[in-house]
Amino acid sequence: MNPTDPAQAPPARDRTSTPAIPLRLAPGDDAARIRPQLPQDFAAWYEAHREVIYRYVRFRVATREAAEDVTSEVFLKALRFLGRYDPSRAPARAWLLHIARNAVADHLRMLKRRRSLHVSIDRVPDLVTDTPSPEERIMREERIQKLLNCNRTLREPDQEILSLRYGAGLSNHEIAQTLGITDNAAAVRVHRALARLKAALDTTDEMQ
Amino acid sequence: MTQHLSGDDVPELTPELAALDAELRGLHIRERASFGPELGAELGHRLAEMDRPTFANRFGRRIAVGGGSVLLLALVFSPARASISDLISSFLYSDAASAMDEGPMPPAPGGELVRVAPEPLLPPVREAESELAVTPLREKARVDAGALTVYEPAEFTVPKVADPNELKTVLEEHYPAHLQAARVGGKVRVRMWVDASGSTSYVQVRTSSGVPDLDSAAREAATHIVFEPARWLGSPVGTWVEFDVGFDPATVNSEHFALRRGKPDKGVL
Repeated sequence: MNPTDPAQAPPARDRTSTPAIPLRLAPGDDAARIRPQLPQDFAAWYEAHREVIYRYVRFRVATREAAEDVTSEVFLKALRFLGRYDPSRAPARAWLLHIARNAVADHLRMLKRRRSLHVSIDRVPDLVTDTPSPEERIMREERIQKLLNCNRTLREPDQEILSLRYGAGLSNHEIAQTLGITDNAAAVRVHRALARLKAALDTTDEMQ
Repeated sequence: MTQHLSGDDVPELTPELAALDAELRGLHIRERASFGPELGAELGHRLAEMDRPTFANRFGRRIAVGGGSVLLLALVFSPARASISDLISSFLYSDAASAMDEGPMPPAPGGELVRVAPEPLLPPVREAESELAVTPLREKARVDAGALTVYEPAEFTVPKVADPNELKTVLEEHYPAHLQAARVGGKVRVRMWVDASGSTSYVQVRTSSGVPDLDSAAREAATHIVFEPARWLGSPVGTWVEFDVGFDPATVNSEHFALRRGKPDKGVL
């Protein structure tokens, strides 16, 4: 992209009033056209890992909007601290997931102060696939609400491992790489966290 | 327990866990279609801003190295060192110094004038009036000076708890479950620094409840209490406070109690 070419210049916008994240395109904007160049490595990371980071975050926060905000924060921090990344210490995805874990913790801590951690039924429509009927959709949304709320009652390590497994969609080997543990240890942790989630779900069902 | 598990699937799952595993795998998490390009554009703009040559970018390093070298050389020579120390002190304490230089405060009949610094280090000597009472140290000096009358400027306001309801929740959440079950309560006097943003730090136990677990819980709970900060001449300032953290089994919220026993409360986290 040639920033001096008016035809390629990004549309002017009022930066003083634009929130830092996330960016919403105005009608008619072409995101591909206005996207300036990112460092080659970072651009590759962004394309390769953004969905994984987003799914990991979405599994842990209540709404799509919060997931977008936190994901944006993750990549902004990664861009800011790119110079500190040491490839010999961890793969790129593990580093990004580490940033994501801290970003999610900060977000949840902020929500905890506001006492708004509970996931409401109207906050999970983006997590429901096509269902045969509206009634089925409501039941599915209630089930997801219950799953996410019970997940948040677990200890932090259990939430983390379940988010990596079922949010980010990582295999046990990939989870082991991310956490710096053996494949066997990762599999055991997933198994135990799943059992605790099941216990929490059963307890919730008993109380209802 | 030793389990030899490997591979992508987690074998040895019971049928119920296998069903839950399948259900979670089927969770549909997809980002909004335009989110990726939007965030990419934002990152690109941020990068352009970071790379834009500014005065700091161009000359920042040179200024830092030059300034650091001058400071290092100056510190070697004692006359310069004294001057630098005075210069730094004048910046740090300019507000207090200017306040102090405004002249003596009006005396009470029969009393002596004493100037009080914004952040005194006097030890506390007065009992708190209630569990929620905040007793900054400078107030104690006023009470316990005896024949010496200490006047506090009217412009100083003490810290106060920002949200009493949130305080109650914080205390309930940190009340150890096993002590609740045994109906063991107590009061812990903690001393902590409340900074200009209202956050607490450097929490110490001043008076123990006699129950170590309660003391630990009080110290932990104190770090989560949010205050409206003290104000000196209208500006927020940090100050030391003492605070009584009370755990009373009779006033525990039953829902939070159930939550800490491992049973998620219905609809409340």
